Amino acid sequence: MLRVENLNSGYGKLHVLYDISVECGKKEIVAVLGPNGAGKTTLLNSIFGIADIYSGSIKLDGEEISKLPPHNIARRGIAYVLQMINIFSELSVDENLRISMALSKNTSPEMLDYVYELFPILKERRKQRAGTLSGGERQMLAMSIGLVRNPKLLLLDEPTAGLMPLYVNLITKKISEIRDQKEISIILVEQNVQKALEVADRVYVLVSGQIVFKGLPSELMGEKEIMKLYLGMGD
Amino acid sequence: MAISLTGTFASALAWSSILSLTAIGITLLYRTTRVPNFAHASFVTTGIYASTIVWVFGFHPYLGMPLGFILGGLEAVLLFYTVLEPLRRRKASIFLLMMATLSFDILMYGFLNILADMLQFEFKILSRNIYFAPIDFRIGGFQGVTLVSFVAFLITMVALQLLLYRTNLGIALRACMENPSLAQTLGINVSRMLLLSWFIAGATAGLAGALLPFYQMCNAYTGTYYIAEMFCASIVGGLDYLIGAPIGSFLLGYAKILLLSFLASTVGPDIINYMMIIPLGIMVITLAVLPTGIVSLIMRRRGV
Repeated sequence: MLRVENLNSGYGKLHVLYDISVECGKKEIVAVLGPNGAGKTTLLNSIFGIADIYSGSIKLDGEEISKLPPHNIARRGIAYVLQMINIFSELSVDENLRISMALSKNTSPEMLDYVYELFPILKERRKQRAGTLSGGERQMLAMSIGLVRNPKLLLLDEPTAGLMPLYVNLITKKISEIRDQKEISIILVEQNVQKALEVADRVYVLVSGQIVFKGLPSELMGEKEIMKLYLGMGD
Repeated sequence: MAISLTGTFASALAWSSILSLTAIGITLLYRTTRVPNFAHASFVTTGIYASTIVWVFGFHPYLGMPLGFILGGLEAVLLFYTVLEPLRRRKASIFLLMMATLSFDILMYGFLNILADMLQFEFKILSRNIYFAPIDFRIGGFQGVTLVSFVAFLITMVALQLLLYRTNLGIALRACMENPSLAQTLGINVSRMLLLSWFIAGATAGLAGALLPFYQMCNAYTGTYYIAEMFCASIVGGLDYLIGAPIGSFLLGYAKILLLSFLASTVGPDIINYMMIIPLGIMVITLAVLPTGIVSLIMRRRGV
């Protein structure tokens, strides 16, 4: 599905990621964990063509995408749910979803029904201006904007950040539902280590732009030092 | 007196409609590109010469409206593709982009003067005193331009409304206005959307320019002369909402024409030389009271 190899990237002269290699298979949830400033969002930005790539390769289903502009990467089946400002607050809920669907070749009207089933509150609020939604509802809409495109790969940047516990549990549950119900791979960048480990199939830990761990969630749980030093999950 | 007052109202309607057609583009470009576009002056002047060209070839100058629309739009596309987009790719500042539009405007001013000279020498017309009011039709004692400009304004507003709210292209354009970074994550080609907004802005300004010689005597400098008033209309209405442009234009248009008419009859006709004080004065007052324009007040009341 997605293979990132020896990636060096950043923003202009600011080199953030050093020789990163990451893989994400079909119907797999890959969590990327790490402290603040580790380069987690830069990894997603690099995959999506927003960050500057200095060297390395990013292949989606064998096709090199590292030199493509973001709108072309989106059209190849990657959906990116940004952490902040991830909805069009001046458009209605329905318009947010409609514009996302209109530009995707893979989608179908059933995807709209699917996201409304997944998040029924959005159906109730479909005519409402998106800027008037609550924090949790906004996050549901942001994920739905990505989902209705029926992407091959969904990039989620801290989808539970700043949400109340009720929504954190709901969003986490929905992420694993999406993986189980659809042919969608997910790369999940998270600060909430516990929730990420609940849903992830595999985990990468990123520290200062380098990968210090890759493996299964159960294996990471056994790495006491990494858990304590970098993820704040000690005794 | 009653007829004169009605005539003044009709004149204000024509001017407000023409001003709206120019201000809508300024607001649109500010919303999409964040650039105060000084080249709007030459887009308008291009429209003036579009109707002149149609006229010298023996057609009624009203038929210059579609030509003004297309030429104005193409001129804006030329500016976007050759100047602004390359600068934008190099991450030029808004100030630099604004100065680039001013430079383009000066270049076009020179070109339009050459065109005016050509028309004068080749067709023996007074290409710097273009005035079509004498050949305008009259309806109910009023000049045709009153009706035509108002209808052109209404059609433009309805078409824009339909485009922006009923089509995927328009929703994509609105998405780019609000958040270009998010728009590109959905596969929207932001650059193409910006191009569309520049075409619309240039086209509506060109359309306004094509109507202008029916309203007043025009030359190659007319667009530049009114550029400050166009900006005033956009700013007074509010740059955050497209609807601000016509609201600001009608407020300024009516205030200017009615006040001028009153002052000319009481103080004397020389007061017309100071007419730009009215829109600029209204803008200063509006900015002091409502820094984000009149529409912000309406939106606040609606809870938007």
